[in-house]
Amino acid sequence: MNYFTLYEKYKIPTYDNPDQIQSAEIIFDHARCNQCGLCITSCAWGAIVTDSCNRVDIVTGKFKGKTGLPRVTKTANDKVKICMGCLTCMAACPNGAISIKKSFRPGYRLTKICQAPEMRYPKRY
Amino acid sequence: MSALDEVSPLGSYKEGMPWNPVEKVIMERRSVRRFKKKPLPDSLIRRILEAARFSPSTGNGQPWKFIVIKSPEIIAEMERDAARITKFFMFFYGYTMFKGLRRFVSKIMANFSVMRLYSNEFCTPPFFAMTQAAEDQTVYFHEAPVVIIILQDKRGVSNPSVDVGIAGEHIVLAAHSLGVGTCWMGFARLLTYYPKWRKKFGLSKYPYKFGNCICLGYPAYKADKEVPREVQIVEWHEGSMKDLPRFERQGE
Repeated sequence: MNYFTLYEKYKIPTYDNPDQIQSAEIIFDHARCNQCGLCITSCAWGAIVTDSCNRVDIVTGKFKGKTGLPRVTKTANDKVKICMGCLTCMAACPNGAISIKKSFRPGYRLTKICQAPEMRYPKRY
Repeated sequence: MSALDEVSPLGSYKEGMPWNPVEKVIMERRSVRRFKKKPLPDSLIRRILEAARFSPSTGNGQPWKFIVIKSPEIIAEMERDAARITKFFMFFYGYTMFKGLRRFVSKIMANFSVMRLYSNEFCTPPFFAMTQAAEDQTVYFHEAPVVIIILQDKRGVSNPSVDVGIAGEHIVLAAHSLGVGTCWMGFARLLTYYPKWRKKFGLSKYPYKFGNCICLGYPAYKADKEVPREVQIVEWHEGSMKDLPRFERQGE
């Protein structure tokens, strides 16, 4: 599949440039977290981890009990938090401890052109 | 009352009315990524596939083939092989995982090959997911009891990949309405690099090619809730040809 012209391919930024790549930041309310591990389970690519376990441990059933406080992993240069803001973790959280900070407007490749930055729940028109 | 008012089986529209069942399924469906070990009964899988059989396609071409995989042994092997091929790719190209000289070399390799040549397959979301899988931070098939692979008929009318997507979405919505959790798993495409799996499922045997893949199972946790999304800016053309369109903020 060749959706891009050569010049457009040339313009793709590198993948650990936070201004261009990071599209969302989620915030954990640690006071309301009961460390059940559901956000870790529901993350699409295991980006949410704790100090004691990761997604593989929970899905395969190796790890049981309290997981510890969750955080989002970063790339090796400690700049980009690899979260795409799908908010499946927010839906899975039983205590509503996860919220999203959406001030990011990622660059060339991941810019959402027709979307405004405000986040809204579905509206019954 | 005209005949048009009676078309919908779920009642007619009134402004601000609560979601009807179909809308509720659409709005509250979230991907489920952890399943109970309990297998799905065959009749339920057949009922879900029936929704896909009756999905619309261009020119009634029905350019799809469904493969249902229920064997935990085969799914575990698919998982292992997908992880293996991911590690192979990310050893060369996964530069966001590395530091120092290795990062330097790997970044050059990625920049001059996959990031530019396969820029859709190796866009950042799948790229990061594959680096996480290469570091043993995530699994692809979520230990699901059932996996449905959808193959696409290359001879299909006009744009068969859209038809495959519609069929898959019918499966997902029908499954959700029956209490079955689903998750799209496009990374099953990695199996096409293995001759073993190409042969077993006919993944690239003419006229078929890999379309998409869906994991199904009873959800192990409750994930169904509405989530916020970005406000969408929609263009409305209402006046004459000379008038400029009106821009509406959908969702506010």
